[in-house]
Amino acid sequence: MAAYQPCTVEPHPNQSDWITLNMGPQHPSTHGVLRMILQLDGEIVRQVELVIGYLHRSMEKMAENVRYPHFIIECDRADYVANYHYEAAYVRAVEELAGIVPTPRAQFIRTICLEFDRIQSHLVWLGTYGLDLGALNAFWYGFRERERILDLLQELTGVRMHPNYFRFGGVKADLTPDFERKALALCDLLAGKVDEYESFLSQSDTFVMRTQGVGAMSREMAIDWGVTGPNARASGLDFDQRRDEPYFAYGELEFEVPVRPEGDCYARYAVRLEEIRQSVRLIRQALDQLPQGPVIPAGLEKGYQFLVHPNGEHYAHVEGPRGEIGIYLIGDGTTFPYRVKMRSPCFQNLSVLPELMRDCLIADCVAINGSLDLVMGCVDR
Amino acid sequence: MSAPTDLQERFPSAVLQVGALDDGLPLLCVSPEALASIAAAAKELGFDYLACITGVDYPSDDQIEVIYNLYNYHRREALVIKVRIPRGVARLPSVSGVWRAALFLERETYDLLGVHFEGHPELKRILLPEPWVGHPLRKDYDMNRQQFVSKGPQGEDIVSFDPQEGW
Amino acid sequence: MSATRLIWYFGGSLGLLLIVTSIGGIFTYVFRKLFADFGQRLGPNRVGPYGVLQLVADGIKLFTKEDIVPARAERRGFLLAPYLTFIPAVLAFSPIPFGQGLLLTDVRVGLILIFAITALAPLGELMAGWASNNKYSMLGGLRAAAMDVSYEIPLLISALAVILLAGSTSTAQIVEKQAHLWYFLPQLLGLFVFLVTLIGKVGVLPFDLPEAESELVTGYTTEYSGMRFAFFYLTVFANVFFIAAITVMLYFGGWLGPFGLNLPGPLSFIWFFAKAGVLVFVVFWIWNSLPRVRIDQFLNINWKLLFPLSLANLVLTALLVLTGVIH
Repeated sequence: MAAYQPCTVEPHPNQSDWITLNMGPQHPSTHGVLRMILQLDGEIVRQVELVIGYLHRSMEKMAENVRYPHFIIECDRADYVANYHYEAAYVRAVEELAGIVPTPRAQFIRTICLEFDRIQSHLVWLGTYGLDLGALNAFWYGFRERERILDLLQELTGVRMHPNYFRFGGVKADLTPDFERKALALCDLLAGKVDEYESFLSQSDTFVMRTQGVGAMSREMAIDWGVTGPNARASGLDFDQRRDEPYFAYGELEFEVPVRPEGDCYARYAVRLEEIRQSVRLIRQALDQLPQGPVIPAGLEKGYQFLVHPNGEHYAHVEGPRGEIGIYLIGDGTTFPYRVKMRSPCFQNLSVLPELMRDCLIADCVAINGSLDLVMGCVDR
Repeated sequence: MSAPTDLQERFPSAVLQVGALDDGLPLLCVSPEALASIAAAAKELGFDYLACITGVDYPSDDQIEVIYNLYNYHRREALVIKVRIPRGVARLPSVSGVWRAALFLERETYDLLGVHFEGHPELKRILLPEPWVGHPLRKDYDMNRQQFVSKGPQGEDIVSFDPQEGW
Repeated sequence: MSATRLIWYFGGSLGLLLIVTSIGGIFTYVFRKLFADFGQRLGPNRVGPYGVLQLVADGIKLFTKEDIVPARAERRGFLLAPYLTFIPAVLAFSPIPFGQGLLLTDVRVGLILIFAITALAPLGELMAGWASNNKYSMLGGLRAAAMDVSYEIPLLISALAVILLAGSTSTAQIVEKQAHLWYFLPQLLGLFVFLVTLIGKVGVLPFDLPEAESELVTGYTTEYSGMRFAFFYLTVFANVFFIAAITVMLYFGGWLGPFGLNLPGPLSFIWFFAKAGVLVFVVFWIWNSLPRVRIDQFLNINWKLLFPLSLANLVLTALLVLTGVIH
């Protein structure tokens, strides 16, 4: 493995020689409509200012004007890469506030969906990150397997993305007859493919050179800035809500939480790759232990969902592929939510970006931005 | 001793109420003046992670409530701090000096609810363009009036109620 | 100068232009097919059998596309730059023998001429970058110039070792001297340095820093459209062919066949193109496999690895020649 060579270019004393470069909102590697105003000293980035909001839809306001079940589909659109996780956070918030107990089978089906979702989200990240670094083919490899996952989930939910599948107390429909067989086959495939990705990225000196030591974030920094998820775990924060505050069926499943101390782009990459492996393990266990029974409790089928009228305040959070997805829900006893606050992991992960980018090169700027796995829909909501 | 009672003992006059949210999360209602010092004390107690800042508008009480979700990574415990301020002069001390996670969250709360966080280094709108009129998450925000955003000659944002203006 | 000579030069130049342009065009198709194969996709497959006519379709598209000049661009430089990069790319082929006797000019300093011509390339790139009045383009142009200038040195030094072996700078003679021993055998180190620097100089992945699309959009070509963009595009593929051609000429015996299986006269171009084809495949393979290096790493590789290696190779070759191991 090649060691990181820090760039040692002498800083220019004269600020008037700095160039202002507008990166985004339309740029190949800002992954959506992020705008970064870079102050460049030659090729070195001195200051970064972030401009966001290009994708702001004011979802929190929308939530106040629709009935509880109507907002499930809206949740899908917040993070358009990992749709199921926002749904999960919202459904969990409503259930816990309204005192609805989901059926055991639904809990397992949800867990399977979430883990497949996590894998496909990480694969999208892997592909686009490869593209950011110029490894053109990583993109196709990542998307090839993602397509298989989406096909499988499409069979279950009817659509590739924006599934609108979770319901208060359960899920929309039971598993299709041969879902389990297909899911297991897909798990076998994915387990092998992760090794393949590793063989063409981890073992590539250029990739290691570009990522190791770049954009290092310490554990304290991650906590202070509210960074969560794989990004924080790559900085040595040993915390995963699935393990430490289990929800759905996670409490009954066994898995490991990959943690790395370095906090650089390579650590973030390695953590995500290992998470794919662990997700495969989780899905296999969940399929194995899948209980029988209804997928939605009696009295909550179809239209009865609209009668949910929780009263009180609750903060529910799940471990999304990008970090903690939280919903602060305030119900006033009507069938409309009084306030839904969406705590976005990307929003917090993004805020640390100017710190990480200070005094790096433009090329590193792309590597760091990519490694944080930002989805602008999730940032802007 | 649990964290909320500890904080109550240290700030007897500022902590208005110790309770629990409907899901059992420990809750602390504090007065706005003492928020900064209570936040610093909470961080000393190990609440190193600020997960979320939520602003809620209660026009019936003529108040805005700001809710801070804290978490302690060492002891794996959560704490909720609530502050109520009048709607008209919605001012709060910033906690961005305590948790830098608050930098973005406070800007968002300012943007969408119009709460001014005093001491925030860069308090400006974050999701909406700077000249936007009104704060959308306030309950009395008029959603029937459309606002149109365009670019001015210097690249600055222009917001107007007339769709023709600025094009 | 006799009339026949003049006609030969005109006809030959036109032929060379046609050959290089069409090879560049064909490479765009080959590259896309290979790129698709590496990514487990199909690639162009709609226009004509196996999508071979995609090339024509692309050509028509680029020809008929509007030629946009940005309002605040430096107009003359902007219009001129594509030609300034394309012409040296074609011109550099003029002393390269495609087969026995199949070369435009057999000057005694052929190899020097080639490197002199390729040294013109950064001019067009820099001009395009500056004239576009776009910061991405400018950074791309600056990177291109920095890369070209620094990579020239190990490139020339490793070529110098070949000149030492052949005792000549005439391209035809260098090939003829390899009748007994192709130079890649005594020059393994030199070949490595030469190929890496050449790929770096041409600027394809992993060294495509001037047009790194994820960082600088597409560098100095960002503002170009239509035919002018097509010239830049063709230049890249002509340069890929140039890498293959000059490496075959210097290290793999040019038009000579292996094990003395030489083809007579002009027919020997078959060997040349067969060998060049393999090398082009290698270049495309590298292009599709490796991530991009960073600019400081790129320059470090050059000055701390390739430059000393090329010097060592030169000294080693000189010793071999001096002691008469290779004559």
